[in-house]
Amino acid sequence: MPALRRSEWYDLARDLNWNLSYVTEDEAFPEVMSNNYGITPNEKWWAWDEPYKVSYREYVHNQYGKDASVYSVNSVIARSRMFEELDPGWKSAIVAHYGAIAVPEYLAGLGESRMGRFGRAAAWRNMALFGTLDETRHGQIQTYFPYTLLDKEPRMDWAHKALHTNEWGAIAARHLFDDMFTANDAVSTAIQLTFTFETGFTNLQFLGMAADAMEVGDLDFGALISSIQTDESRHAQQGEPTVRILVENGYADVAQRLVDHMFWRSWHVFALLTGLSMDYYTPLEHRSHSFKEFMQEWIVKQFLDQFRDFGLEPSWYWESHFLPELDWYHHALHLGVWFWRPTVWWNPDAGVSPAEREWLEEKYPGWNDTFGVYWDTIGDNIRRGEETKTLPETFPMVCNMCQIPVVTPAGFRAGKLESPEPHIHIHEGRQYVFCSEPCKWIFQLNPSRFAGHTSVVDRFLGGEIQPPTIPGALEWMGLSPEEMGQDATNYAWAYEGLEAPGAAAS
Amino acid sequence: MTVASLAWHEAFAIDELWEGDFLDLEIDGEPVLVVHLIGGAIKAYQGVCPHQEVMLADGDWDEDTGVLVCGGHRWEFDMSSGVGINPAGCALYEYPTKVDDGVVFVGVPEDGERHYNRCPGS
Repeated sequence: MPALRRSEWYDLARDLNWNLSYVTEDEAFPEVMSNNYGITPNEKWWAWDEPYKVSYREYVHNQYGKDASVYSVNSVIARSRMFEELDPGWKSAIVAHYGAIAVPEYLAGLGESRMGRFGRAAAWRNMALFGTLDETRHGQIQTYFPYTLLDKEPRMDWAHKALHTNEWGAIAARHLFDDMFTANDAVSTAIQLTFTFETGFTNLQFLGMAADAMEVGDLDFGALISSIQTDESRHAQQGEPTVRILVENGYADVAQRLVDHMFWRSWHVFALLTGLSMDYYTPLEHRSHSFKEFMQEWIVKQFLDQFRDFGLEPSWYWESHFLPELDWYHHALHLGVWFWRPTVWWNPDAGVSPAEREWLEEKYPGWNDTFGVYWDTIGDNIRRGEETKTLPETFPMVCNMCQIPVVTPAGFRAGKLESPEPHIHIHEGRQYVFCSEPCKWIFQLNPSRFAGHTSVVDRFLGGEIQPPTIPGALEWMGLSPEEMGQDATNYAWAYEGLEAPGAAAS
Repeated sequence: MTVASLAWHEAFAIDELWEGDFLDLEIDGEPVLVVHLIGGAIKAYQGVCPHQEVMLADGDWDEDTGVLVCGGHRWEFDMSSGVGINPAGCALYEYPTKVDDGVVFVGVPEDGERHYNRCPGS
């Protein structure tokens, strides 16, 4: 081991900053790769300092230990019947997770690499190197674990496949992550990926879901994602010193705008992924908290504290749009995902048996009157044997920012929106549809960044998807009949509490 | 902070916590981690990490070095002083303790505040 303590040599070894003489700053750090937002000369960035320090030797030692531990758990559990005995809803949650997360983790390695080259201080580039290695690990391990489950659940191959398809959820994930890091400059990536997304939201998916996994008995998934989250200590902290430098140089408004933009986008994807998993797919007896409670603890309280630590304020939409959506948005998405279940690669769990509805009503007072009534009708149709009435014949509108179906009518009916209509915006002769005011605002911040993209529905109506039918679109999305989602419990929820299947049929 | 402003809460009999071990408790509504260090000292700290409020009792504890590593994000604390090792410059809130007739007491200031330090980006 080194004779010196880390603090005695770390800064000297890390801070390999120098003034450029052979090239200009702009040549070394082009704006498209590293937007300095007007903070020049580059020496002003050299004050960048991360709180949590690690040497390469320590990094390798720690990571070796983590991998040895997690892969051992996987190896032992692979020989058990643990997966077969998991609740079907929980299996859906992890099939959805792997598809939405594994390849984006690998892509995040690109964003980290960009910061590793174009970060504006040596300390930052050093930390981004560890971030690159972390994200490579996360991409690999979250592809490998589902791979070991392929013989038990063939759709685990969507861990690798999903982001390579045009499945609508995959398009939503790609659109978000391209905006956040694959096609973002180093400074904005530090604030939008590491500060906003990782510091704020991934705790929810990785610590919250890890707690649920351990409750459910899914030791494999619980060990995996809690191990992943321990890596965040290093690379998630890249955002904080970057925010600090912007604020100290009088650019708090830039940091605020970058946070506000990505917070909203992150919220919508997490509502889709984590909201459904926590409140509908996780078995009732193992739910530690509701999604809203997790959001209130991890996001509303903790992340808001962090905003304020850096002199930032809650986003302009916090009270008017974000907090109200905690009560209804993911319930509306769940209804839509379940109804359009053939369009997803996992089996949506309705999660509305009598006991589950009681829990939903307790956690979200008024749920029975707002969302329960839809499920009353769906349940009636199932019990009458009219399954076709619970399946789609066309597609919903899709938001041109978050790429998630527009669910404003459900929000309106729940009394949370003033109008059921989407937000329309005309830009250079083209009409864009948005699910919310903040999604429209993000588009208007930088129209040229988003204007060229076409949503699934734009492509459907534009004739790119042939034949222009539901089966044609499903094939275009890469979904074979065997891969299309079905009700996770084969409609058992519709008969719970009744004497026998069909007993309630009228 | 004066001793007079503390409310002493009976925590446990000292026989219940061996040297080198710790207990996580809720005292006066606050999560508290009580450590019995090798050598006999009893220390009480905030029970959640000052980084992102993950329960410290879920972390990795080395009784020989007295270092606790938070299970959330690997922040390290010297539990003989509560001082952060990595990151440096961050310390756990420490509650006063006393042992009276074989019973450990933890002192909670009667100031109506929640007693913990936060240092998310320090």
